[in-house]
This record gives sequence, structure tokens and C-alpha cells, in this order.
Amino acid sequence: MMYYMMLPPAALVCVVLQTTLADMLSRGAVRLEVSLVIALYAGFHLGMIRGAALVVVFGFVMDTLTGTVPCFYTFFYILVFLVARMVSFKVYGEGAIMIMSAAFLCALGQAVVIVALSRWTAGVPLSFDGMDVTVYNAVLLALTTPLFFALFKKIEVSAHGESSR
Amino acid sequence: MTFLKKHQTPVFLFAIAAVFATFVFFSLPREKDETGFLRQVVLETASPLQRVFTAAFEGFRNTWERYLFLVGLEEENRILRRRVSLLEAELSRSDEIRIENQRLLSLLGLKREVSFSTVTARVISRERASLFKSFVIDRGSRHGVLVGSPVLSAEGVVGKVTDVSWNAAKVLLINDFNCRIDAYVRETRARGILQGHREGDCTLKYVPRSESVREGDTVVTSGLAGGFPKGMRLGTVIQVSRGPNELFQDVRVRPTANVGKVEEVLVIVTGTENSSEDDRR
Repeated sequence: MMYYMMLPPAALVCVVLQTTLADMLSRGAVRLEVSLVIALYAGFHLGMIRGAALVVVFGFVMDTLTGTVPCFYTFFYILVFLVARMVSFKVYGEGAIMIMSAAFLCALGQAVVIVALSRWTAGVPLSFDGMDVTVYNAVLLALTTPLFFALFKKIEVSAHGESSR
Repeated sequence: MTFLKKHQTPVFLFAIAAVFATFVFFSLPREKDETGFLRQVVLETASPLQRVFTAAFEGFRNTWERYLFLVGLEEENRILRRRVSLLEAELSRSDEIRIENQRLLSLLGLKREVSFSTVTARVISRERASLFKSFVIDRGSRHGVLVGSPVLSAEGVVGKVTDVSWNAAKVLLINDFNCRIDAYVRETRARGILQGHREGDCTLKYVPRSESVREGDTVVTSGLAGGFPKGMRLGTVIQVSRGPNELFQDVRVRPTANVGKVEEVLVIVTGTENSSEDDRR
């Protein structure tokens, strides 16, 4: 129960930190979407209900604070969670290369979905100008994902230890 | 428990759908131009955090840039350099205050030009590298800000408010692909819809081929829809192209306001006295 009660404040702090920290330190050049890594981690490591609750809350907070397309992040995180969960049954999801590739593909996939959305819903001409920044950010996210996974695992282990005490 | 284990996937999908539906239900506005209750709560709870983090990081960065890099220099130079650094920091702070004053004065100038009730707001959170273009300001419904309220800087239109809580609001910037504003070219009166483009510029759509539009022309709001007053500067035409078999021309517009760097904005509010919220700040 504690886990579900802690989710909204944790999501809020995490999203506010990820938006302000990366933007201010890099002067708007870098974007580190930790919430996407969390959705991926949930797919690989968490149970169904816990993971689903996690991605829905994070997606909702992202939609409210930064999104301009209604429910985009919620849908996308659920999608990432489901795909990661399905993949985790077939593939060993602990290897660094595997995690990094998954994070890179998710970040890139998200950008492609936004470009497609802007084309099909808003009629913006299809172009990939300015996507180099997105690719850099996807690479950066992929490189840092194993660190985040290790951190989440530590948090999970310590939280589990606390609750079982 | 056996039932749960046996029908794990459908139960899981149902649970996700139920949780998602609950979120959507509570985040939906009851009336048009209203932000859903849950979204208001999230926006409201996040704004003090955003303020604290922004102030803390600004302070940290300033300290790092102006002071900490002196650590490690020789003792003799250290005291002198520290003094220089402190004086520079002081000077820099004075410069910052001077620049802020200039910005606020130009906003005030704009405020005098604008005959609507306005509220000055500070940007407390933004994500410039995101493909979605928005930021959060520290003024909300308590200050008269509504969904759809136009947001301006001294240079021109910045965007419009899409979500409002009691003390914060989310602004959709004019260079986001979801933002559309009825506009016309000041010099030739050619009308169109200004829509954001991903690279930071905008496109003036639906301008007939027959209309004369030139590079350097100014695009302003038409005042016909969206709550924007007529004649507010939106941007400057930077490129015009006409396809051989196309009904409309492609007009690329660069926003006049530097939406990525703006720190203070004016929000046009309705239904409040012109006594100005700023005077009370």
C-alpha cells in the first residue's frame, strides 16, 4: 500500500527534477527523460499491477506538466511497459547492451510517434529537420540507462527490505 | 488467487484500462476551457517544487561559474581573486538586476500599450529540448488566468494558456505544432492560420497563391478567434515558396518573441480590474 501512496509524490519530484535539472544545466540542449527509463524498468522488473500503476502515474504527471498532446505520455509509457514486459519473457533483460538498445529505441520511437502525430493530426509537413538533437538525447539516455537501472534496483531492494522488516 | 493466476493477462489489461479510465475521467474538464481537477492538483503541487528547484539550480550555477572555479589556485592569488570574483559577482548581479529592470520596463511599456487587464508572470519550468513546446508560469486562476488566455512578451506573442491551477498555469508556445492562431500579414492583409513547426519556427497556412507575401513582412494576430487581441506581433516572414500546382503558398515565419529564453511574460486576463496584480507583488 505504501508503494502506491508514494507513487504520486515520487513521480512529481522525479518529473520536476528531470525537466528543470537537465534544462538548466545544459541550457536547454539536453533532455534526459528518466520517466521513460522508469517505464522500461517497470516492464522488465516489476509485477503487472505495480508496473502498470507506476507508468500510468508517471505518464499522467508528464502529460500535465510538459505534454501538449492529451494523454500522449500515458499511452506511450503503457506501450513501452507492455512491450518491455513481453520482451522480458523471451530475452534476458539484465545485460547492459540490451537495456541501452531498448532505451535508445524507445526514445527514438517516441520522437517518430510525435513527428507522425504532428503530420496526421496537425498537418505539419513531414520532415526530420532538427531531429539530430533528438538522436543525441536518445544516445545520452541509452548510455545512462544502466546507471539508472542499477539505482532503481537499489531503491527497490532497500524499499523491499524496509517493508519486510 | 487461482483465478488471478489463471487469467493473468486479461485481469492485467482490465486493471490497466480501469486505472487509465479513472485518470482520464478525473483529468477531463467538466466544461470547455476548464482544466480537470487532477491536472489542477498536479500543476499546483508541482509549481512550488519547480520554483524551489529553479531557484536552487540558478543559485548553484551562478556560484559554480563565478566562485568555485577559483578553488585550487595559489594562496597568494586566492584572496585577491576571491575579492575580484566577489566584486564580479556583485557586478554581475547588478547587471542581472539592470537587465531584469530593462525587461520589466519593456513589459511595462507593452502593458501601457495593451488596453487589457494583464498579469505579469515568471517562467518557473521549461524543457527546451523537448519536441513539445510548453512552459509553466507562476500565476493561475487566483490571479485571473484562464484556459486560452494569450501570453505575451515585450517582443510579441509567446503562446496561450492550456492548463490552469490556482497558482500556476501551463503555456502552449506558438512554435508547438498544436498551437494555431488566426493571423494576417500586416503589409498585405493576407490572412492565414499560424501554426508551430518542430524546428522552432512557424508556418502561416492557407494563404492563397494569389496573395502577395514577401520576406521581412510582419505577421500579426487577426483578433478574430482564440481570444487574442488584434494586431499583436507574432513573427516575421523568413521564407515564401509557391509550388506549381498548389492552391496555397508555404509561408515560413520566425516568431518575434524569443520563446526559448523568455523569463517574464504578460498574461492577458479578463474579468479582473486593471489595478494590476504586479502592483501588489
